[in-house]
Amino acid sequence: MAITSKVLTVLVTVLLFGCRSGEPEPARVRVGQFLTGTPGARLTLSGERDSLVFDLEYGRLSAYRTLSPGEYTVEVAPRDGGPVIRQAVGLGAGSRLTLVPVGTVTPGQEVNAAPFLAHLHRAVEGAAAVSARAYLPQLLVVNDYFVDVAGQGNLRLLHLVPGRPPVDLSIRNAGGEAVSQSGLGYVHASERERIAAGTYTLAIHLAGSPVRVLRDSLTVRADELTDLFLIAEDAQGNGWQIVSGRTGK
Amino acid sequence: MSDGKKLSPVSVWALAAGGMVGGGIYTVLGVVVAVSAQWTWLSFAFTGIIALTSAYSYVYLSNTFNEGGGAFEFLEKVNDEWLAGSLSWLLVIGYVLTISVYAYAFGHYVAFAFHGGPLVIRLLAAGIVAALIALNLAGVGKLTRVEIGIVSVNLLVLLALGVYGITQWDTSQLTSGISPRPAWSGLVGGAAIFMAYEGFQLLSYEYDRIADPHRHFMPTLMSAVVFVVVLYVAVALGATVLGGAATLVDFKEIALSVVAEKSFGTTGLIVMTVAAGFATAAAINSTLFSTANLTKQIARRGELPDWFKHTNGSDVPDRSVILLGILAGILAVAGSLSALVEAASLVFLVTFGVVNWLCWRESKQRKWIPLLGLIVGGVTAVLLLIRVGVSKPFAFGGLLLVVVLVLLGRPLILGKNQKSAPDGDHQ
Repeated sequence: MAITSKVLTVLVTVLLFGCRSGEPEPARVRVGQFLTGTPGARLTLSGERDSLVFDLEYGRLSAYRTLSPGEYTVEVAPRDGGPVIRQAVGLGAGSRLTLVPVGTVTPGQEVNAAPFLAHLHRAVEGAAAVSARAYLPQLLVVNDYFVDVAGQGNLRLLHLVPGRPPVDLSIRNAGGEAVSQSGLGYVHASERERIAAGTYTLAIHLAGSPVRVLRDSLTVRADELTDLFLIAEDAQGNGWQIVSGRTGK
Repeated sequence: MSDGKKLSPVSVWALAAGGMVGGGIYTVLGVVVAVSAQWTWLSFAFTGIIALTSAYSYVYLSNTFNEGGGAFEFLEKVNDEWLAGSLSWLLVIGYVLTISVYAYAFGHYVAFAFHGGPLVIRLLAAGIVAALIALNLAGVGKLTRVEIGIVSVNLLVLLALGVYGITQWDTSQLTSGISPRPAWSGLVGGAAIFMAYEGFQLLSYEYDRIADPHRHFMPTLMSAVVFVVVLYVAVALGATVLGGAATLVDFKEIALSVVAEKSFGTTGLIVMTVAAGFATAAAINSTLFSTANLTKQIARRGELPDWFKHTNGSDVPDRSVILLGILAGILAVAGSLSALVEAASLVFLVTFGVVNWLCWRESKQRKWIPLLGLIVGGVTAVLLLIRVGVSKPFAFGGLLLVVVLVLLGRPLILGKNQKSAPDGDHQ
């Protein structure tokens, strides 16, 4: 009886205070156009209540745009061709997402082309399936939610250069190494690393090798998620560059 | 209640429900959301059928043989010693994996509240196992009253979170940041996280402590399992609505803490950390206690080396406690969440399959209940094997190797053991 009354008390309290009110917060979406093999691409989001088109040059990361929450069909097409990716994505109320088409477009590319094994991974792992898909075009949906800790920023590296080996990341300042990440492979993202706000030196090497790919300075701000998108320097897939994106609270 | 008093139906209910919820849901939610997205609730409902039918079979067999002891004891009763021996080894491995999952969850949840990094997580995971090894060795491993208190609070916190989330209903959150999935993915998701239901069967080891078990055990255990199935469905829906699917997937190790913090701020984080910390610690403690006693029992029947019979001055199977605890601690520190969860799920699917099969064989009526468990469990096990084979081929190979070692190596080890140490307990 005591347990029953406790359970009922909890349920009644939760129901009394839990009634939802008002319109849901919009979803915020930005797009990073990192498909190689095309100078630019169009990404269209079509939903029941809203639709939106991003038309971006290679290597560009858009600003966040708002959309009504709901399910959307995302279609990605190179500027001079038909769609190569078509995928349904849910946009939750208040969510912040970066849609990132990656891979290399080839002439006469089919929609959602992928090796059989990639389909199998997708079937049994769902959203946790991460595979190179033979460097064919695919859409990464990157969740920009982060846990805020006073005085600290969050940092995440995403390796998006098709056909390149895994890399190691090192973030240093005068106090020594603040973050290190090793063996990050193509289409993989590091954890959101918490790091004190400040200025650092960023170095990226080929995994397990002294061969440096990039070295740059990096400013980490408190209460922000800094995404480092490691992509090819040009649309033909040569070289390396970092495109950074910031997400605030 | 550790003094030999009989367990009342309320205590049995709380221990059964708490045994299932005490750790499972904290770790598996993000794993299943990734696989099943908006059908996550179906994963819990589908595998709930196996839990329900298996609970029925456990109680039926316990009442029939008028003895607890679980799958190992049931097989001994029907004189299938080969299967009893093989299954007992697998079961012990399953419990070690389960303890490691709970320790893993403890480390992550507590460290998250204090902004601890990977080293802190590992230290906490190893530390809680070490502390509970010490508690068990001191002879205070079974604290039924404390356990009931902890699980009651734990159940209330989770129920409140689930119900509150449902009152905030927003369908878009169920697939937020991920792609919607077909309904059949609910079955694959369920296969991956079946271990979330295994806890009720620890009660079968307490059979002789249950007051009037022929009258109370069946309705009590069945209602506890039904409650947990409903609770899991509620938490799966409520937490996903509050946190958003992608966030639960990204932060799967600490999914419920992130949801609590996102929804209720620091207060929510503190409440969830306390609930998760105590629930996982209680689950580690009760599983370690029961498993160590099980190994002693198995060793007494000659299915484990005599080494495991050893007890200390408090009549605690000390070597088993230490060995099992250390193995679980190592796995918790070195393992990955989904690999540990999947391996444990597979062991318990096999165990429950055997118990359902035995019940089907021994039953005179309602044979459809264990048969349903066998069919749903069989489908789930096949799906899990496919999932592990595709996503973790090396782990799959390792798992097969362990099974082969258990089947082939056991007779060799025991044969050698019987030659070298034929006598009884070494105290």
